[in-house]
Amino acid sequence: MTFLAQASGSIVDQWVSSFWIALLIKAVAVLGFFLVAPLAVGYMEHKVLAHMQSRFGPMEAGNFHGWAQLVADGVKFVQKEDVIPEAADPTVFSLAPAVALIPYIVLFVTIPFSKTVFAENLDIGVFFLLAMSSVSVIGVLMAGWSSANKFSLIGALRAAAQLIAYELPLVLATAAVVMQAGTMRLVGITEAQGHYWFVATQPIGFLIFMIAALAELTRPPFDMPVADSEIIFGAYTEYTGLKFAFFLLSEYGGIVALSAIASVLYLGGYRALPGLPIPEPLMMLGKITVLSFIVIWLRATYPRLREDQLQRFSWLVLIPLTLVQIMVVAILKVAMR
Amino acid sequence: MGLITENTPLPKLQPVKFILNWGRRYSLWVMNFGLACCAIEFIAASTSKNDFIRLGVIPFAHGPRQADLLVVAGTLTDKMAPALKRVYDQIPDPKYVISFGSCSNCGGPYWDSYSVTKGVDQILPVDVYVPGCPPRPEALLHGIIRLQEKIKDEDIQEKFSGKLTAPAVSS
Amino acid sequence: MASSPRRLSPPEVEARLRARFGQDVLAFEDQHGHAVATVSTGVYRDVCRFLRDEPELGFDYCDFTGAVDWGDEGGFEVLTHLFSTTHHHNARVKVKLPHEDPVCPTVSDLFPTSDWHERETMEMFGIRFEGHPQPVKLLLSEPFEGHPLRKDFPLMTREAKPWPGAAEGEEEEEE
Repeated sequence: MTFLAQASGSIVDQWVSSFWIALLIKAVAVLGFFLVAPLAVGYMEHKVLAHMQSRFGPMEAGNFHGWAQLVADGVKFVQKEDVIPEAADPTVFSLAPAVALIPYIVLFVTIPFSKTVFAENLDIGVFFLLAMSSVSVIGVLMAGWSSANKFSLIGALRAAAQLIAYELPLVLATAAVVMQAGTMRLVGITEAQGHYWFVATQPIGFLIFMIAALAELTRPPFDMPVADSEIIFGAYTEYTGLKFAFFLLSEYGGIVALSAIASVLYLGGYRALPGLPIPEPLMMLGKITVLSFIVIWLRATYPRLREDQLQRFSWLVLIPLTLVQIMVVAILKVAMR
Repeated sequence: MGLITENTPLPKLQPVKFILNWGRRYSLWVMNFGLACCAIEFIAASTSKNDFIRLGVIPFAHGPRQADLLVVAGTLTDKMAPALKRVYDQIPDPKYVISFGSCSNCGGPYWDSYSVTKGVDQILPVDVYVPGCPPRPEALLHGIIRLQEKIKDEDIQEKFSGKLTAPAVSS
Repeated sequence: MASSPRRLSPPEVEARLRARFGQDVLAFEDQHGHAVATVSTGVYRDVCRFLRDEPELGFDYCDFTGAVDWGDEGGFEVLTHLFSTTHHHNARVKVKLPHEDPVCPTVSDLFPTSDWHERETMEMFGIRFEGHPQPVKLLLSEPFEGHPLRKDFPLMTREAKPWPGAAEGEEEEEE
């Protein structure tokens, strides 16, 4: 199985020669990371929002500054009654959380935490990431449609319209990065940022990517589909217990995933700033944390955009800017050959 | 035989019950059924100065389906009573009710009115009563702490056996 | 075509009303700057329409429609308070009704505000408003019987249990 070790370069494949054991370790690692990182981001959200609003966040759960708040939430959600409305479609209703959650777990397979610490270095890396994040849109639509609830349906349609509208700036911004790096493999993109991070040449692309990522996750200021003063909870109104917990997990998992993608594409991934002796996985985790903090900061700061303002912003502002960005990168790439 | 007999006081260790109760205790998502002036005190309890998120009570659950705790704050009129019962039924088990303020405890200053339900315990099983007109936000915090103590010793089988729980009065 | 804002004093309003309706204006008062006219039931709607449509009167805003129970001798009195947003003067129109079978024409098609106000008056006093589009209970629950704001309506809770304490400062009477 040395072929795999050479082809993928993953540290797991270098240590373990059996294909199946390597697969098991990778799956467990990805799942483990996915179960820990979103909880950490969720806890960070409670605390960051709290301190920005001059209060403490959770303090009691776990006795030390409430570190176990999200764990308590998980334990509580497991015990809740599972309610399926009578008029709802039970199969679609029950599958929707899975369809919304699993793509974000699978995303982590390709994210590199160092030159050798990753699960798979797919040669269609970036394409895979974007495709997976679009699949979770279907989960939201399934949830809203099968709930047999007017508000859920409206929320789901709003979410679908928003996510489709913001998929384009995301993809086009990524295309500009891929053009500059010359490869779609994530490790390759990170290695291509040896001299300077891509945010230096594509700052607008970075901004557009972050804005589009926020809209993909329906985070404020783009959280019209889940606005609780308007349509209760949008597509997820009728969900209780563990299914609801999965939707929350997919939201926080999405924040971690999209922060990870943004730091790989624009902020140099695991590459440390020259001269700093920080180990590469920690650098990657640090960048993910900083970007997640900014996402949470935006929640504390901005009111939400109306649906038509949102759509207008995407189609009339972001997409033309990304097209300009692609043109600029293409011209520079050819000119500086 | 030996040192440990049936008279030796041993702590009753029930790890699974402890963990499950701990989870329910520190993660109460609250649906605020604010009807009148007590709703303002409830909102005040959720703001920076008296912050009940500290206790694990995450406020303003998006809807009844995502909540565990229903805080009925304010006067319940006969016209509103069916709506309250409906919202209570929509909350999935295990659920708790705090009656906040004297109007929802017993009708309060409107005890002789023709249109007021004299206390929400006529239609819902209440776990904690918080007296006051309106109670201070600190009284709500005290009520929540009492509820958490009640949950700590709760036997979940007994809770679901269908008997109404005995209310704990917060003073 | 609104005329320029000019606040009319109550005697001026009275003069215009009497010129138009003559004997149907049963009584007129000036209460703290508000023109209060008691009219007969038949012209109630016409008075309200006249007050609204005349450019110099221009009472386009209905503040409330309510009722008073004057007890055994007085009967019911339905009153509508109108305000002019251009001229900034107030008027009240009162109609006296008997205790038995009180019927009053509705003004809800002239002023949409009084739709709900008349529903509340209907359920609280038992006054029937002719021509009201949706005469259903507004605030009381469906199975409620009786009309609470009438003077002869007993407060059932106080009959079941006497008023427990004296007010502040009063002395307890020894029974």
